[in-house]
Amino acid sequence: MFLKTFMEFFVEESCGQCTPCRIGNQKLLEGVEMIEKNQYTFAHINNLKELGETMKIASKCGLGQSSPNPFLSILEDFKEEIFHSKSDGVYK
Amino acid sequence: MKHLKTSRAPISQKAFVPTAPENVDTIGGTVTVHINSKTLSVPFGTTILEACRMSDIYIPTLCAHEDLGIGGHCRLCLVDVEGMRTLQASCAFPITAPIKVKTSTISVRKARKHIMELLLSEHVGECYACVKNGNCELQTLAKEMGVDAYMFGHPNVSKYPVDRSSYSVIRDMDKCINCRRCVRTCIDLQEVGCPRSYWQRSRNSYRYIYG
Repeated sequence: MFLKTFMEFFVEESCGQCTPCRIGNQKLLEGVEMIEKNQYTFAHINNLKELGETMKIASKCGLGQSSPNPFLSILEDFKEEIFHSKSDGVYK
Repeated sequence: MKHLKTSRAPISQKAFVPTAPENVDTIGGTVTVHINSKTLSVPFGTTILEACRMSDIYIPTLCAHEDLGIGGHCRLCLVDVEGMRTLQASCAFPITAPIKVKTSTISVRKARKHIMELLLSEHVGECYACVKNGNCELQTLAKEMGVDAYMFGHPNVSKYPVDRSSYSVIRDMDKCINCRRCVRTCIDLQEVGCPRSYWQRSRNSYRYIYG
């Protein structure tokens, strides 16, 4: 998925000083990987979305403040494409 | 002024603090701050955290230490400063102008809880099997914030071997939360810089080396 390359970039480029950016980006990447393997729950995705909003306001520098933007906007704007495979199956 | 704790760090390692007029009563010596509908006048250059501690307003902290310089790593002491786009770490925000601060809005509490969950998601092991059980800052803060379930998971498999190479120090990197107090103590107080941290890209984690 295109989003995965974004999140891998942010995980790699994070300097690792402040907590929300260092661990938050890793959690977002894990979430993307879970979506890719169809192993997600919607509750967890909502948790990650809230985490993204927190990272936007809690990080120290501009990288951490802008890194959840692709995650949030892609999940918001391409909802149907991403969650399509799940929509005819059972919601977990 | 007697409430202000003086740092023991050498002058070369001290954080930048804007110079205040010597006589506090002069114009510009004190700044008026509104914290949670309380009005204080504090000396110029006091951080928000110090101002809150003067007036008995509680702010949780992990990486802040009065002997060390400004860290701002753990982001647990976030406060909402009026007019700022993001939340600010109160330990790293010297007051140089009259500001309005709120320490327990919904967004602040949510951010603190998220950060605590993130810290616990890298903290290996159960508390009951730990030496520091009952005497642990992280455990106390997690209890205060009402962390009842691990939102982002909790690892139980050890990642690093315990370092018992020294007779005086046992180092368990599984428990490390990257507050960097050990690094900053050795740099700020000792001026030795023995423990160093470097970012290991292949593992996406910090490695601390001694010596």
